[in-house]
Amino acid sequence: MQNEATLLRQLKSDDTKELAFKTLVELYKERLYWHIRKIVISHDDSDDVLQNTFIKIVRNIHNFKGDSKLFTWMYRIATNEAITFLNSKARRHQISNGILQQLALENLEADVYFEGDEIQLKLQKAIAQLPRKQKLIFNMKYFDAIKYKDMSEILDTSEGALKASYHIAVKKIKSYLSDN
Amino acid sequence: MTLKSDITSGFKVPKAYFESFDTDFILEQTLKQTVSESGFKTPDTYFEKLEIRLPKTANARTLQQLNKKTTFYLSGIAASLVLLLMFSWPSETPQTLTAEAIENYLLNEEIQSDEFASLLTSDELDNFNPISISSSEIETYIFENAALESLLID
Repeated sequence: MQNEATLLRQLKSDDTKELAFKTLVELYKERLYWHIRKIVISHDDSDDVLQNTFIKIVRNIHNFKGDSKLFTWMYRIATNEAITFLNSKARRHQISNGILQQLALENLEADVYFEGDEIQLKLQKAIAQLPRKQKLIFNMKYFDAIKYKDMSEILDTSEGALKASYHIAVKKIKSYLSDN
Repeated sequence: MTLKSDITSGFKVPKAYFESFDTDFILEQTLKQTVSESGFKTPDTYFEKLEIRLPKTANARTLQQLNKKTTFYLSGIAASLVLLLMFSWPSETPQTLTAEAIENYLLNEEIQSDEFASLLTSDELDNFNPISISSSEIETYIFENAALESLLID
């Protein structure tokens, strides 16, 4: 796999940025897609947000100073893009974020790109009950096994707070699943 | 010679680290035994066919990326045109719409940026530069202000 520093240098050079960007997309498209998908739920919305995320990455790559890992910086952009998208969608439909989430879950049952069984649908409903940040933490740790150290850079939250929040999230979800 | 039994490595762990580790790990594992996958899937060959459509040049900014001030400027133009049409169009039941009401309507309805763009000619769009701030400064500002950007995403 290409060294991150080399890739970054190529992304910042006019001569090599096009090819380097293709490499970047190949390396991270699936990880970023699944991260976004768990936030916005619908495949079509995820595709839009993924496009916007990569456009933003390439537009702002010259601002990336290397203070964090490239992948955590990209995850941060993807997270912000997904949240911004949801806020904007809720505002456009003049509904709250909670109602928007509820509608997304109702649509999920008929979504051709959701093949979950009853327990997976119930899990999504349980996740939807969590506060937004706790939801992010749960998804990143439970499904993607992102390390707390990296998550700390992505969400700008201390590792201790992340661990505590994850612990609480898992307990809430277990409780939801046993009660419903 | 034997090692003294009271010699330790000197390393320490946070208080209740192992108890907490066991609890979190077991808690997670028992949940994963019940359900471990999200259930989401993608269309067949989605990732193979995925293409990121980058703007052709750095200057080819879409209206989506224009800042709030610019959006209001465009709204103003659109509102002016609507007002112009409204007053020049013969009507039996004249309505009293304020510029503010029209602007709110344009901002709140699902009017896409390309619809705003359709009100302007290509030359006007190419030469459109109402503020003397460089593109990179605007992009940096928008990038660092997610809340502002949320107003412009659509």
